[in-house]
Amino acid sequence: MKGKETPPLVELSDLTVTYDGQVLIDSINLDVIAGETLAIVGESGAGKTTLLRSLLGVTSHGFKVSGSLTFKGQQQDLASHRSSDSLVKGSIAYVPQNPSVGLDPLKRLKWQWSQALRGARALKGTLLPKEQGAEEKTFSENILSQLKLKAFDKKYPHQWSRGMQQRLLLAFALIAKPKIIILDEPTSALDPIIAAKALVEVTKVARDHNISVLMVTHDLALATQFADRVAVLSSGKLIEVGMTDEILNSPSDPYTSNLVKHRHWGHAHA
Amino acid sequence: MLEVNNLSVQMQNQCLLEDINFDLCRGETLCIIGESGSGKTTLLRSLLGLIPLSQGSVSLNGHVYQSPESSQIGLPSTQMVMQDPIAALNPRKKVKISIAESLYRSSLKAAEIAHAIKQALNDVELPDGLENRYPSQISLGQAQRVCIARAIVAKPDILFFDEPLSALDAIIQKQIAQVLERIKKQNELSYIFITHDLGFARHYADKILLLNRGKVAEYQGVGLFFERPESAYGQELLEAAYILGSLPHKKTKEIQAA
Repeated sequence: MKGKETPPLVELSDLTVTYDGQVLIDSINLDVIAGETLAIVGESGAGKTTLLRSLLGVTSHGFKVSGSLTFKGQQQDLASHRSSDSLVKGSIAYVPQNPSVGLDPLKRLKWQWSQALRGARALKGTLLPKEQGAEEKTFSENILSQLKLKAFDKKYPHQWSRGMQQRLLLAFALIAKPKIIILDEPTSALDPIIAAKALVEVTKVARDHNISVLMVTHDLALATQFADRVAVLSSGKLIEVGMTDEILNSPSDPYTSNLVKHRHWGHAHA
Repeated sequence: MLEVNNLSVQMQNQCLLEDINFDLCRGETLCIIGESGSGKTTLLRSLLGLIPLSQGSVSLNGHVYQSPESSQIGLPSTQMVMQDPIAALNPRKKVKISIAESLYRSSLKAAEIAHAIKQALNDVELPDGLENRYPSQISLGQAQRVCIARAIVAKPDILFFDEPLSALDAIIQKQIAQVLERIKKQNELSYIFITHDLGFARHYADKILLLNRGKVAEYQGVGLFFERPESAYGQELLEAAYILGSLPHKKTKEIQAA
Protein backbone atom coordinates (compact mmCIF):
# COMPACT_ATOMS: atom_id res chain seq x y z
CA MET A 1 0.00 0.00 0.00
CA LYS A 2 2.68 2.43 0.96
CA GLY A 3 5.45 1.21 -1.32
CA LYS A 4 5.92 3.28 -4.39
CA GLU A 5 6.60 0.13 -6.47
CA THR A 6 2.91 -0.87 -6.39
CA PRO A 7 1.41 -0.09 -9.79
CA PRO A 8 -1.30 2.56 -9.53
CA LEU A 9 -4.93 1.52 -9.73
CA VAL A 10 -6.08 4.61 -11.56
CA GLU A 11 -3.87 7.07 -13.32
CA LEU A 12 -4.82 10.49 -14.62
CA SER A 13 -2.30 11.82 -17.12
CA ASP A 14 -2.02 15.37 -18.32
CA LEU A 15 -5.57 16.23 -17.25
CA THR A 16 -6.47 19.72 -18.39
CA VAL A 17 -9.89 21.29 -18.09
CA THR A 18 -10.86 24.61 -19.61
CA TYR A 19 -14.10 26.51 -19.53
CA ASP A 20 -14.69 29.46 -21.81
CA GLY A 21 -10.96 29.82 -22.43
CA GLN A 22 -10.18 29.79 -18.71
CA VAL A 23 -7.89 27.03 -17.50
CA LEU A 24 -9.49 25.37 -14.47
CA ILE A 25 -7.19 22.35 -14.25
CA ASP A 26 -3.70 22.67 -15.61
CA SER A 27 -2.11 19.39 -16.83
CA ILE A 28 -2.40 17.31 -13.70
CA ASN A 29 -0.85 13.87 -13.31
CA LEU A 30 -2.25 11.93 -10.40
CA ASP A 31 -2.52 8.28 -9.50
CA VAL A 32 -4.41 6.36 -6.87
CA ILE A 33 -2.80 3.23 -5.43
CA ALA A 34 -4.95 0.25 -4.44
CA GLY A 35 -5.97 0.30 -0.81
CA GLU A 36 -4.51 3.69 0.07
CA THR A 37 -6.23 6.74 1.47
CA LEU A 38 -5.37 9.72 -0.70
CA ALA A 39 -6.46 13.20 0.30
CA ILE A 40 -6.83 15.98 -2.23
CA VAL A 41 -6.50 19.23 -0.35
CA GLY A 42 -7.26 22.63 -1.79
CA GLU A 43 -8.85 25.91 -0.82
CA SER A 44 -12.10 27.08 -2.37
CA GLY A 45 -11.71 27.54 -6.12
CA ALA A 46 -8.64 25.31 -6.32
CA GLY A 47 -10.37 22.92 -8.71
CA LYS A 48 -11.20 20.02 -6.39
CA THR A 49 -14.73 19.58 -7.70
CA THR A 50 -13.68 19.95 -11.35
CA LEU A 51 -10.99 17.30 -10.84
CA LEU A 52 -13.51 14.89 -9.31
CA ARG A 53 -16.05 15.53 -12.02
CA SER A 54 -13.51 14.85 -14.76
CA LEU A 55 -12.48 11.62 -13.09
CA LEU A 56 -16.11 10.52 -12.88
CA GLY A 57 -16.95 11.74 -16.37
CA VAL A 58 -19.71 14.05 -15.24
CA THR A 59 -18.39 17.47 -16.25
CA SER A 60 -21.08 19.98 -17.15
CA HIS A 61 -21.74 21.30 -20.63
CA GLY A 62 -19.08 23.72 -21.82
CA PHE A 63 -16.17 22.18 -19.95
CA LYS A 64 -13.38 21.07 -22.29
CA VAL A 65 -11.46 18.13 -20.88
CA SER A 66 -8.25 16.65 -22.26
CA GLY A 67 -5.78 14.07 -21.06
CA SER A 68 -6.12 10.37 -20.45
CA LEU A 69 -7.25 7.93 -17.83
CA THR A 70 -5.60 4.58 -17.21
CA PHE A 71 -7.43 1.88 -15.28
CA LYS A 72 -6.43 -1.79 -15.04
CA GLY A 73 -3.95 -1.36 -17.85
CA GLN A 74 -6.49 0.14 -20.25
CA GLN A 75 -6.37 3.70 -21.40
CA GLN A 76 -9.21 6.08 -22.19
CA ASP A 77 -9.15 9.54 -23.74
CA LEU A 78 -10.71 12.01 -21.35
CA ALA A 79 -11.97 14.33 -24.10
CA SER A 80 -14.90 12.02 -24.81
CA HIS A 81 -15.08 10.50 -21.35
CA ARG A 82 -18.62 10.12 -20.00
CA SER A 83 -19.67 8.23 -16.90
CA SER A 84 -21.86 5.82 -18.91
CA ASP A 85 -18.99 4.34 -20.94
CA SER A 86 -16.16 5.06 -18.56
CA LEU A 87 -13.50 2.50 -17.74
CA VAL A 88 -14.06 3.28 -14.10
CA LYS A 89 -17.82 2.76 -14.29
CA GLY A 90 -18.88 0.69 -11.32
CA SER A 91 -15.42 0.89 -9.79
CA ILE A 92 -15.68 4.30 -8.19
CA ALA A 93 -18.35 5.12 -5.64
CA TYR A 94 -19.08 8.72 -4.76
CA VAL A 95 -20.41 9.91 -1.42
CA PRO A 96 -21.74 13.45 -1.69
CA GLN A 97 -21.01 16.21 0.79
CA ASN A 98 -24.63 16.62 1.78
CA PRO A 99 -26.24 13.23 2.50
CA SER A 100 -29.77 14.40 1.82
CA VAL A 101 -29.03 14.94 -1.90
CA GLY A 102 -28.20 11.25 -2.22
CA LEU A 103 -31.51 9.99 -0.89
CA ASP A 104 -35.00 10.17 -2.35
CA PRO A 105 -37.12 11.99 0.24
CA LEU A 106 -40.31 10.27 -0.92
CA LYS A 107 -39.13 6.67 -0.71
CA ARG A 108 -38.63 4.45 2.29
CA LEU A 109 -35.03 3.72 3.19
CA LYS A 110 -35.52 0.01 2.80
CA TRP A 111 -36.61 0.51 -0.79
CA GLN A 112 -33.59 2.71 -1.47
CA TRP A 113 -31.31 0.08 0.00
CA SER A 114 -32.86 -2.59 -2.26
CA GLN A 115 -32.27 -0.31 -5.25
CA ALA A 116 -28.66 0.07 -4.24
CA LEU A 117 -28.30 -3.71 -3.97
CA ARG A 118 -29.94 -4.12 -7.33
CA GLY A 119 -27.62 -1.55 -8.86
CA ALA A 120 -24.65 -3.31 -7.39
CA ARG A 121 -25.84 -6.60 -8.84
CA ALA A 122 -26.44 -5.04 -12.25
CA LEU A 123 -22.86 -3.82 -12.25
CA LYS A 124 -21.62 -7.32 -11.60
CA GLY A 125 -23.76 -8.63 -14.43
CA THR A 126 -26.24 -10.70 -12.42
CA LEU A 127 -29.39 -8.78 -13.16
CA LEU A 128 -32.05 -11.03 -11.64
CA PRO A 129 -33.02 -9.36 -8.38
CA LYS A 130 -34.20 -12.53 -6.67
CA GLU A 131 -30.99 -14.43 -7.25
CA GLN A 132 -29.37 -13.09 -4.17
CA GLY A 133 -26.60 -15.48 -3.34
CA ALA A 134 -25.79 -16.36 0.25
CA GLU A 135 -22.35 -14.80 -0.09
CA GLU A 136 -23.77 -11.52 -1.31
CA LYS A 137 -26.27 -11.50 1.50
CA THR A 138 -23.65 -11.91 4.18
CA PHE A 139 -21.53 -9.26 2.51
CA SER A 140 -24.29 -6.66 2.52
CA GLU A 141 -25.34 -7.55 6.04
CA ASN A 142 -21.73 -7.25 7.08
CA ILE A 143 -21.49 -3.76 5.66
CA LEU A 144 -24.66 -2.70 7.43
CA SER A 145 -23.50 -4.02 10.77
CA GLN A 146 -20.00 -2.59 10.35
CA LEU A 147 -21.49 0.82 9.76
CA LYS A 148 -23.80 0.25 12.72
CA LEU A 149 -26.95 0.66 10.67
CA LYS A 150 -29.85 -0.95 12.42
CA ALA A 151 -33.21 -2.01 11.02
CA PHE A 152 -34.69 0.31 8.43
CA ASP A 153 -38.22 -0.31 9.77
CA LYS A 154 -40.51 1.74 7.62
CA LYS A 155 -38.53 4.93 7.92
CA TYR A 156 -38.18 7.75 5.42
CA PRO A 157 -34.90 9.68 5.06
CA HIS A 158 -36.07 12.66 7.09
CA GLN A 159 -36.74 10.38 10.07
CA TRP A 160 -33.06 9.57 10.28
CA SER A 161 -30.37 11.92 11.51
CA ARG A 162 -27.85 13.28 9.06
CA GLY A 163 -25.18 11.09 10.58
CA MET A 164 -27.26 7.99 9.89
CA GLN A 165 -28.07 9.20 6.37
CA GLN A 166 -24.38 9.70 5.68
CA ARG A 167 -23.63 6.18 6.89
CA LEU A 168 -26.35 4.76 4.70
CA LEU A 169 -24.76 6.47 1.69
CA LEU A 170 -21.43 4.99 2.69
CA ALA A 171 -23.12 1.58 2.78
CA PHE A 172 -24.62 2.24 -0.69
CA ALA A 173 -21.12 3.02 -1.90
CA LEU A 174 -19.52 -0.03 -0.29
CA ILE A 175 -21.94 -2.76 -1.40
CA ALA A 176 -21.08 -2.16 -5.04
CA LYS A 177 -17.58 -3.40 -4.07
CA PRO A 178 -15.89 -0.41 -5.65
CA LYS A 179 -12.15 -0.10 -6.02
CA ILE A 180 -12.26 3.53 -4.96
CA ILE A 181 -14.63 5.42 -2.73
CA ILE A 182 -14.73 9.19 -3.00
CA LEU A 183 -15.60 11.22 0.08
CA ASP A 184 -16.41 14.79 -0.90
CA GLU A 185 -15.86 17.10 2.10
CA PRO A 186 -16.91 14.29 4.45
CA THR A 187 -17.15 16.36 7.61
CA SER A 188 -18.77 19.57 6.51
CA ALA A 189 -22.40 18.50 6.76
CA LEU A 190 -21.97 16.61 10.02
CA ASP A 191 -21.42 17.50 13.64
CA PRO A 192 -17.92 16.62 14.82
CA ILE A 193 -18.79 13.67 17.07
CA ILE A 194 -20.74 11.94 14.30
CA ALA A 195 -18.23 12.90 11.62
CA ALA A 196 -15.34 11.46 13.61
CA LYS A 197 -17.14 8.17 14.19
CA ALA A 198 -18.27 7.85 10.56
CA LEU A 199 -14.80 8.56 9.20
CA VAL A 200 -13.05 6.14 11.53
CA GLU A 201 -15.55 3.46 10.56
CA VAL A 202 -15.45 4.01 6.82
CA THR A 203 -11.67 4.08 6.65
CA LYS A 204 -11.62 0.84 8.63
CA VAL A 205 -14.15 -0.88 6.35
CA ALA A 206 -12.25 0.35 3.30
CA ARG A 207 -8.99 -1.03 4.69
CA ASP A 208 -10.63 -4.38 5.44
CA HIS A 209 -11.83 -4.67 1.84
CA ASN A 210 -8.74 -3.12 0.21
CA ILE A 211 -10.73 -0.19 -1.16
CA SER A 212 -8.91 3.07 -1.87
CA VAL A 213 -10.36 6.18 -0.28
CA LEU A 214 -10.11 9.46 -2.14
CA MET A 215 -10.89 12.18 0.34
CA VAL A 216 -11.47 15.66 -1.02
CA THR A 217 -11.29 18.41 1.54
CA HIS A 218 -10.23 21.98 2.24
CA ASP A 219 -8.98 20.94 5.67
CA LEU A 220 -5.33 19.92 5.70
CA ALA A 221 -5.44 18.98 9.38
CA LEU A 222 -8.27 16.54 8.68
CA ALA A 223 -6.49 15.16 5.61
CA THR A 224 -3.27 14.45 7.49
CA GLN A 225 -5.17 12.62 10.22
CA PHE A 226 -6.57 10.03 7.82
CA ALA A 227 -4.56 9.97 4.61
CA ASP A 228 -1.54 7.90 3.62
CA ARG A 229 -0.76 10.41 0.89
CA VAL A 230 -1.73 14.03 0.41
CA ALA A 231 -2.07 15.92 -2.89
CA VAL A 232 -2.15 19.70 -2.66
CA LEU A 233 -4.15 21.52 -5.31
CA SER A 234 -4.07 25.27 -5.86
CA SER A 235 -5.50 27.36 -8.73
CA GLY A 236 -5.91 24.26 -10.87
CA LYS A 237 -2.32 23.09 -10.44
CA LEU A 238 -1.10 20.12 -8.51
CA ILE A 239 1.40 21.78 -6.20
CA GLU A 240 2.73 18.75 -4.44
CA VAL A 241 1.98 15.06 -3.83
CA GLY A 242 3.66 13.15 -1.06
CA MET A 243 3.37 10.81 1.87
CA THR A 244 1.53 12.52 4.72
CA ASP A 245 4.61 12.70 6.93
CA GLU A 246 6.69 14.17 4.11
CA ILE A 247 4.09 16.85 3.47
CA LEU A 248 3.93 17.72 7.16
CA ASN A 249 7.62 17.62 7.93
CA SER A 250 9.34 18.69 4.74
CA PRO A 251 6.97 20.30 2.27
CA SER A 252 8.87 21.23 -0.86
CA ASP A 253 6.60 24.04 -2.03
CA PRO A 254 6.14 27.36 -0.20
CA TYR A 255 2.37 27.20 -0.73
CA THR A 256 2.24 23.82 0.99
CA SER A 257 4.44 24.93 3.85
CA ASN A 258 2.18 27.92 4.37
CA LEU A 259 -0.84 25.61 4.51
CA VAL A 260 0.98 23.28 6.89
CA LYS A 261 1.92 26.22 9.09
CA HIS A 262 -1.67 27.45 9.22
CA ARG A 263 -3.45 24.14 9.61
CA HIS A 264 -3.96 24.66 13.32
CA TRP A 265 -4.80 27.73 15.35
CA GLY A 266 -2.13 29.39 17.37
CA HIS A 267 1.35 30.71 16.91
CA ALA A 268 2.98 27.78 18.67
CA HIS A 269 2.73 25.88 15.41
CA ALA A 270 3.73 28.78 13.20
CA MET B 1 -20.72 44.04 32.06
CA LEU B 2 -23.12 41.53 30.46
CA GLU B 3 -25.15 39.28 32.69
CA VAL B 4 -27.54 36.58 31.57
CA ASN B 5 -29.77 35.10 34.24
CA ASN B 6 -32.05 32.05 33.95
CA LEU B 7 -32.68 32.75 30.31
CA SER B 8 -35.24 30.45 28.70
CA VAL B 9 -36.83 30.57 25.29
CA GLN B 10 -39.93 28.66 24.35
CA MET B 11 -41.59 28.57 21.00
CA GLN B 12 -44.73 26.66 20.11
CA ASN B 13 -44.55 24.75 23.38
CA GLN B 14 -41.04 23.63 22.57
CA CYS B 15 -38.30 24.59 24.94
CA LEU B 16 -35.42 25.82 22.81
CA LEU B 17 -33.26 27.17 25.60
CA GLU B 18 -33.51 26.33 29.26
CA ASP B 19 -32.03 28.14 32.21
CA ILE B 20 -28.97 29.71 30.63
CA ASN B 21 -26.67 31.66 32.95
CA PHE B 22 -23.41 33.36 32.12
CA ASP B 23 -21.64 36.68 32.38
CA LEU B 24 -19.06 38.54 30.39
CA CYS B 25 -16.59 41.19 31.54
CA ARG B 26 -15.09 43.97 29.47
CA GLY B 27 -12.33 42.67 27.21
CA GLU B 28 -13.38 39.03 27.52
CA THR B 29 -14.13 36.57 24.73
CA LEU B 30 -16.79 33.92 25.17
CA CYS B 31 -17.12 31.07 22.70
CA ILE B 32 -20.48 29.34 22.47
CA ILE B 33 -20.00 25.84 21.09
CA GLY B 34 -22.38 22.97 20.46
CA GLU B 35 -23.78 20.83 17.69
CA SER B 36 -26.26 22.05 15.14
CA GLY B 37 -29.65 22.34 16.78
CA SER B 38 -28.19 22.83 20.23
CA GLY B 39 -29.52 26.39 20.44
CA LYS B 40 -26.43 28.49 19.72
CA THR B 41 -28.08 30.75 17.19
CA THR B 42 -31.29 30.95 19.22
CA LEU B 43 -29.25 32.15 22.19
CA LEU B 44 -27.58 34.82 20.10
CA ARG B 45 -30.88 35.94 18.65
CA SER B 46 -32.49 36.14 22.05
CA LEU B 47 -29.59 38.22 23.37
CA LEU B 48 -30.00 40.59 20.45
CA GLY B 49 -33.72 40.85 21.14
CA LEU B 50 -34.78 39.19 17.90
CA ILE B 51 -36.60 36.46 19.83
CA PRO B 52 -38.60 37.26 22.97
CA LEU B 53 -37.41 35.62 26.18
CA SER B 54 -39.91 33.43 27.98
CA GLN B 55 -38.04 33.66 31.23
CA GLY B 56 -35.02 35.31 32.73
CA SER B 57 -33.22 38.53 32.04
CA VAL B 58 -30.27 39.98 30.19
CA SER B 59 -28.51 43.04 31.51
CA LEU B 60 -25.80 45.06 29.86
CA ASN B 61 -24.23 48.03 31.64
CA GLY B 62 -27.35 48.45 33.74
CA HIS B 63 -29.80 48.22 30.84
CA VAL B 64 -32.04 45.29 31.64
CA TYR B 65 -33.87 43.34 29.01
CA GLN B 66 -36.41 41.11 30.64
CA SER B 67 -39.17 38.71 29.96
CA PRO B 68 -41.89 38.80 28.88
CA GLU B 69 -41.62 42.49 28.18
CA SER B 70 -40.29 42.57 24.64
CA SER B 71 -40.94 46.20 23.87
CA GLN B 72 -37.26 46.96 23.98
CA ILE B 73 -35.57 45.89 20.80
CA GLY B 74 -32.38 44.19 21.78
CA LEU B 75 -29.49 45.45 23.77
CA PRO B 76 -27.85 48.80 23.24
CA SER B 77 -24.23 48.99 22.13
CA THR B 78 -24.07 45.57 20.55
CA GLN B 79 -23.26 44.69 16.95
CA MET B 80 -23.30 41.47 15.04
CA VAL B 81 -21.22 39.85 12.29
CA MET B 82 -22.78 36.98 10.36
CA GLN B 83 -21.45 33.85 8.74
CA ASP B 84 -21.93 34.70 5.08
CA PRO B 85 -20.53 38.17 4.41
CA ILE B 86 -21.87 38.42 0.86
CA ALA B 87 -25.42 37.73 2.04
CA ALA B 88 -24.97 40.29 4.80
CA LEU B 89 -24.09 43.15 2.44
CA ASN B 90 -26.55 44.86 0.15
CA PRO B 91 -25.35 43.98 -3.37
CA ARG B 92 -26.72 47.22 -4.81
CA LYS B 93 -24.94 49.52 -2.43
CA LYS B 94 -21.33 50.55 -2.32
CA VAL B 95 -19.38 49.28 0.63
CA LYS B 96 -19.17 52.72 2.20
CA ILE B 97 -22.97 53.10 2.17
CA SER B 98 -23.33 49.75 3.94
CA ILE B 99 -20.87 50.84 6.59
CA ALA B 100 -22.50 54.25 6.97
CA GLU B 101 -25.81 52.55 7.76
CA SER B 102 -24.42 51.64 11.16
CA LEU B 103 -24.13 55.35 11.90
CA TYR B 104 -27.55 56.50 10.81
CA ARG B 105 -28.67 57.20 14.35
CA SER B 106 -25.55 59.16 15.25
CA SER B 107 -25.38 62.92 14.95
CA LEU B 108 -22.16 62.86 12.95
CA LYS B 109 -21.72 65.19 10.00
CA ALA B 110 -20.98 63.80 6.53
CA ALA B 111 -17.27 64.54 6.76
CA GLU B 112 -17.06 62.86 10.15
CA ILE B 113 -18.87 59.81 8.82
CA ALA B 114 -16.47 59.61 5.88
CA HIS B 115 -13.58 59.86 8.31
CA ALA B 116 -15.04 57.15 10.57
CA ILE B 117 -15.47 54.85 7.57
CA LYS B 118 -11.86 55.41 6.49
CA GLN B 119 -10.71 54.73 10.04
CA ALA B 120 -12.74 51.53 10.31
CA LEU B 121 -11.49 50.21 6.95
CA ASN B 122 -8.00 51.01 8.10
CA ASP B 123 -8.60 49.09 11.32
CA VAL B 124 -9.59 45.96 9.42
CA GLU B 125 -6.58 46.39 7.12
CA LEU B 126 -8.46 47.02 3.91
CA PRO B 127 -6.84 49.23 1.26
CA ASP B 128 -8.01 52.79 0.56
CA GLY B 129 -10.48 53.06 -2.27
CA LEU B 130 -12.24 49.80 -1.45
CA GLU B 131 -15.13 51.75 0.07
CA ASN B 132 -16.22 52.76 -3.43
CA ARG B 133 -16.63 49.18 -4.65
CA TYR B 134 -19.68 46.97 -4.65
CA PRO B 135 -19.81 43.66 -2.73
CA SER B 136 -19.53 41.71 -6.01
CA GLN B 137 -16.20 43.40 -6.69
CA ILE B 138 -14.48 42.26 -3.51
CA SER B 139 -13.39 38.86 -2.26
CA LEU B 140 -15.13 36.87 0.44
CA GLY B 141 -12.41 37.66 2.98
CA GLN B 142 -12.58 41.36 2.14
CA ALA B 143 -16.37 41.28 2.46
CA GLN B 144 -16.09 39.77 5.93
CA ARG B 145 -13.63 42.54 6.86
CA VAL B 146 -16.19 45.08 5.60
CA CYS B 147 -18.82 43.49 7.87
CA ILE B 148 -16.44 43.78 10.80
CA ALA B 149 -15.73 47.42 9.89
CA ARG B 150 -19.47 48.06 9.76
CA ALA B 151 -19.83 46.58 13.23
CA ILE B 152 -16.95 48.46 14.88
CA VAL B 153 -17.74 51.83 13.34
CA ALA B 154 -20.78 52.06 15.64
CA LYS B 155 -18.47 51.75 18.66
CA PRO B 156 -20.22 48.88 20.41
CA ASP B 157 -19.26 47.33 23.74
CA ILE B 158 -19.95 43.79 22.62
CA LEU B 159 -19.59 42.20 19.23
CA PHE B 160 -21.54 39.05 18.41
CA PHE B 161 -20.19 36.69 15.76
CA ASP B 162 -22.13 33.80 14.26
CA GLU B 163 -19.52 31.49 12.67
CA PRO B 164 -17.65 34.46 11.23
CA LEU B 165 -14.76 32.50 9.72
CA SER B 166 -16.26 29.20 8.61
CA ALA B 167 -16.91 30.36 5.05
CA LEU B 168 -13.29 31.42 4.55
CA ASP B 169 -10.07 29.64 3.59
CA ALA B 170 -7.75 28.57 6.40
CA ILE B 171 -5.07 31.21 5.89
CA ILE B 172 -7.59 34.05 5.52
CA GLN B 173 -9.29 32.83 8.72
CA LYS B 174 -6.10 33.24 10.65
CA GLN B 175 -5.41 36.71 9.24
CA ILE B 176 -8.88 37.95 10.13
CA ALA B 177 -8.71 36.41 13.60
CA GLN B 178 -5.53 38.40 14.22
CA VAL B 179 -7.21 41.59 13.05
CA LEU B 180 -10.10 40.90 15.43
CA GLU B 181 -7.74 40.32 18.32
CA ARG B 182 -5.95 43.64 17.71
CA ILE B 183 -9.24 45.56 17.38
CA LYS B 184 -10.45 44.01 20.62
CA LYS B 185 -7.37 45.17 22.51
CA GLN B 186 -7.43 48.66 20.96
CA ASN B 187 -11.06 49.30 21.80
CA GLU B 188 -11.49 47.16 24.92
CA LEU B 189 -14.27 45.22 23.27
CA SER B 190 -15.90 42.01 24.39
CA TYR B 191 -16.59 39.26 21.90
CA ILE B 192 -19.15 36.49 21.85
CA PHE B 193 -18.45 33.90 19.17
CA ILE B 194 -20.60 31.06 17.97
CA THR B 195 -18.22 28.55 16.54
CA HIS B 196 -17.73 24.86 16.07
CA ASP B 197 -14.03 25.23 15.50
CA LEU B 198 -12.60 24.05 18.79
CA GLY B 199 -9.08 24.99 17.73
CA PHE B 200 -10.19 28.59 17.34
CA ALA B 201 -12.02 28.49 20.67
CA ARG B 202 -8.99 27.16 22.48
CA HIS B 203 -6.80 29.88 21.08
CA TYR B 204 -9.01 32.94 21.34
CA ALA B 205 -11.63 32.31 24.03
CA ASP B 206 -11.40 33.21 27.70
CA LYS B 207 -14.52 31.23 28.53
CA ILE B 208 -16.41 28.40 26.90
CA LEU B 209 -20.16 27.89 27.00
CA LEU B 210 -21.01 24.43 25.72
CA LEU B 211 -24.64 23.93 24.77
CA ASN B 212 -26.37 20.61 24.29
CA ARG B 213 -30.05 20.39 23.42
CA GLY B 214 -30.80 23.86 24.68
CA LYS B 215 -29.08 23.43 28.03
CA VAL B 216 -25.69 24.47 29.28
CA ALA B 217 -23.58 21.31 29.28
CA GLU B 218 -20.54 23.15 30.51
CA TYR B 219 -19.53 26.72 31.37
CA GLN B 220 -15.83 26.98 32.09
CA GLY B 221 -12.62 28.86 31.67
CA VAL B 222 -10.91 27.89 28.46
CA GLY B 223 -7.92 26.24 30.13
CA LEU B 224 -10.00 23.99 32.33
CA PHE B 225 -12.38 23.05 29.56
CA PHE B 226 -9.63 21.83 27.27
CA GLU B 227 -7.62 20.18 30.06
CA ARG B 228 -10.38 18.53 32.04
CA PRO B 229 -13.87 18.82 30.62
CA GLU B 230 -16.41 18.09 33.34
CA SER B 231 -19.25 16.75 31.25
CA ALA B 232 -19.24 13.47 29.36
CA TYR B 233 -20.51 15.40 26.36
CA GLY B 234 -17.57 17.79 26.54
CA GLN B 235 -15.14 14.89 26.65
CA GLU B 236 -16.77 13.25 23.66
CA LEU B 237 -16.59 16.48 21.70
CA LEU B 238 -12.90 16.98 22.47
CA GLU B 239 -12.13 13.40 21.50
CA ALA B 240 -13.86 13.94 18.15
CA ALA B 241 -11.90 17.15 17.60
CA TYR B 242 -8.63 15.29 18.14
CA ILE B 243 -9.67 12.58 15.68
CA LEU B 244 -10.65 15.13 13.04
CA GLY B 245 -7.47 17.09 13.56
CA SER B 246 -9.20 20.32 14.64
CA LEU B 247 -7.08 20.08 17.77
CA PRO B 248 -3.46 19.11 17.27
CA HIS B 249 -1.25 16.49 18.94
CA LYS B 250 -3.06 13.18 18.64
CA LYS B 251 -2.91 10.90 15.64
CA THR B 252 -6.01 9.01 14.55
CA LYS B 253 -4.10 5.77 14.26
CA GLU B 254 -3.15 5.98 17.94
CA ILE B 255 -6.76 6.66 18.84
CA GLN B 256 -7.94 3.70 16.77
CA ALA B 257 -5.34 1.48 18.41
CA ALA B 258 -6.31 2.60 21.91
